[in-house]
Amino acid sequence: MKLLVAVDGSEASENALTYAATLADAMDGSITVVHAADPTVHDEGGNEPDVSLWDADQRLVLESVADVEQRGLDLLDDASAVADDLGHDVAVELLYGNPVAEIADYAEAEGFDTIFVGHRGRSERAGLMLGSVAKSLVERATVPVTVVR
Amino acid sequence: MYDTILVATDGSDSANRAVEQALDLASMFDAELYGISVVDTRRYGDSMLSGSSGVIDDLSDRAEEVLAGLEAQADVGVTTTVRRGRPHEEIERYADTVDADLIVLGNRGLGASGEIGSTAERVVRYIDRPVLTA
Repeated sequence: MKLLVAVDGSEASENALTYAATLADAMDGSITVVHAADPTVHDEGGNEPDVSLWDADQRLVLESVADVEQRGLDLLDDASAVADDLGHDVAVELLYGNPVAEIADYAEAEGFDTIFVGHRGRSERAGLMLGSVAKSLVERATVPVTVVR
Repeated sequence: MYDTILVATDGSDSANRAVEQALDLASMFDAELYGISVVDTRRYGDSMLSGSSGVIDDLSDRAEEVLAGLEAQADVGVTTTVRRGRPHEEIERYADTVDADLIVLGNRGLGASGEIGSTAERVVRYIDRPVLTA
């Protein structure tokens, strides 16, 4: 059983990884953690307000591909460390481009059995208009997708 | 991991894939399996006066058949229910009732003609439980 976990640094995506790890234990599966570096992403989001310039800085517009790439690699390192703590040796893969398309295509091309993805809680009004990676992945992916909060 | 799994089906191809996933997971984790099929009354209204009760009854019969199919496939015990209303609301309500650890449903049911507005999308958006779409 090959499990693919898509991460974006959010708490929900860490939950998705923990969730997948528990399932992998039960099903004797292997886990690959994937992140799509997408330079068009401008805001990391998050529900908490900016309380300082430092906070604002953490959410700054990511414009250079090198920055986006580094951020993706850091995210994957973090995810790998989380999985390590759970006793899992995971493979990591950095993809480039639109998360939905890249992750769905990667899962199909590499023969993954299922995808796990986090979802940031109930969508607020803006979320209803914009859509989410999780929601779009559900529509696009050719393998089962489990959405975890 | 999973004690209680709820699968929602409308008999569509993707719902049938969801049923297979749910059956596999239920037997793997020895979980209690629940099945729901919702008659979508948004399309036909739900009034005695609307003259749509015949349609609704037909759809209810169809839903019963779909769930009978699920029961026939299951080698674990399965409890099923037919509900009438807005699918994602009824699925949420029943998931709360049985306290489902996981909701399984197809990513494109009978009502999904386009990209937007599918039951799967609403379930993913509005229900605070893990959701597996197949």
